[in-house]
Amino acid sequence: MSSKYAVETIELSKYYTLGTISIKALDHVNLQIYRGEYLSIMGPSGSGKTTLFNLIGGLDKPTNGKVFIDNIDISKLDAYELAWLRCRKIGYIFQTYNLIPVLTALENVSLPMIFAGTPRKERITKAKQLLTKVGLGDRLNHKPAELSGGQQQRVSIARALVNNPSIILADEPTGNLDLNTGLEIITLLKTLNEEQGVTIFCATHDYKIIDVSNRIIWIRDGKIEKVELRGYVERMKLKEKS
Amino acid sequence: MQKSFSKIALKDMLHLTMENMKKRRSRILLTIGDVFLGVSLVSSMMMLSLSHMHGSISPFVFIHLTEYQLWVSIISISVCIITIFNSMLIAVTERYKEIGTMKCLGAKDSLILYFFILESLIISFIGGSLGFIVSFIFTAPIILIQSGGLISIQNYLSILIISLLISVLINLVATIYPAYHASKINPAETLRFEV
Repeated sequence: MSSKYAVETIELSKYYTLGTISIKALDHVNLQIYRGEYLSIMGPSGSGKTTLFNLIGGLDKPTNGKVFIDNIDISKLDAYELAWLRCRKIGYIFQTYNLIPVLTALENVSLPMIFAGTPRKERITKAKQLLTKVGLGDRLNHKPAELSGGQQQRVSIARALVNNPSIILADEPTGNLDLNTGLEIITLLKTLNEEQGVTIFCATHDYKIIDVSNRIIWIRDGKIEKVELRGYVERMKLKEKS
Repeated sequence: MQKSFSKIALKDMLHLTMENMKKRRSRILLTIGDVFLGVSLVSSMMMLSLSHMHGSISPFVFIHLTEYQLWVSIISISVCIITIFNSMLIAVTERYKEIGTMKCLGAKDSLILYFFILESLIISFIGGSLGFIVSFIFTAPIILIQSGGLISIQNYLSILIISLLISVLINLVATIYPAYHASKINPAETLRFEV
């Protein structure tokens, strides 16, 4: 296994049984995500995006196939090791932000570090530094209810970055945001990707995200339909305009 | 590859629990009230049972309860357990998404379990001590009138300890299932779940 991949899936399949019918949510998906890549995945609802996310994120077990994160086969891990993996190797960004409502922005960001057992002083320094980087240096002690949607998403980006994960999984990060705020979030993710080499894997319906990604994967009925490089998409757009 | 977690400091857990309890104080207060009522009934029964006692009193003061007092205590404890159980199940549902998120971020199952147990311990200590204090205030005049003097401090002390033990026991029994249930929540499920 070469280590240039942050994530690699081999013949990954997930079947659900509804009554007597077996549904193929994912069907033999082979996917490689390079380090430092900004990858988007597109597809209609029910195409298997979320299932793929859950499998890569170690939240669900595949029916068949393997997922490697940093060359660790996560299908072989038990619950305890999966928790470790989620803590150290994966950062999550959700559509609905999923911040802990009773904690301030600073505490929300330091939460994954508490789980990882980082000492308190280090936690506060790191959380402050990250919140400043995402542009919330003056909102450290605000609770999620006192922040706007875009600000909450910034907090959750800071939270995802805090344990220096190998990959960030973003499930429709701009789904609940208006156009401008969404664009700000996308720009922020792109900046982090370019400046710090963070690997980002992003599920989306949003064409703005596609503009900044290196590769786009189209998924339909649990299969990868096509993989596009960004240049190609841009050319196609120009063609549509003319 | 080393896959061990460092231990999470009790201080951090306590902080998280306290923040959570502050935010959801109405439910917490109800539970404390519940524990308080149950414990105050049991401990006042114990105090009253000692008012006529002469000679040696066992440190396990509850053996001096009359049959009637014993039954009243048992029923009140059972009611207490059932209501706390219910309240804890609601607490788990209320925090379904939050727990899922924490597990997504790498919280171990045991950590979620500890959160709920810590919360129930705090509740049981507050409720238990309140119950003892109030039952002392209410039974002291009765005991004074009946036997012309209060029961000894040692006996009060053993009643206090037994009340707290009962309170902790009630809470643990009622919390263990909901907390276990919470710790086994599938994080993938919570992300789909819309409240």
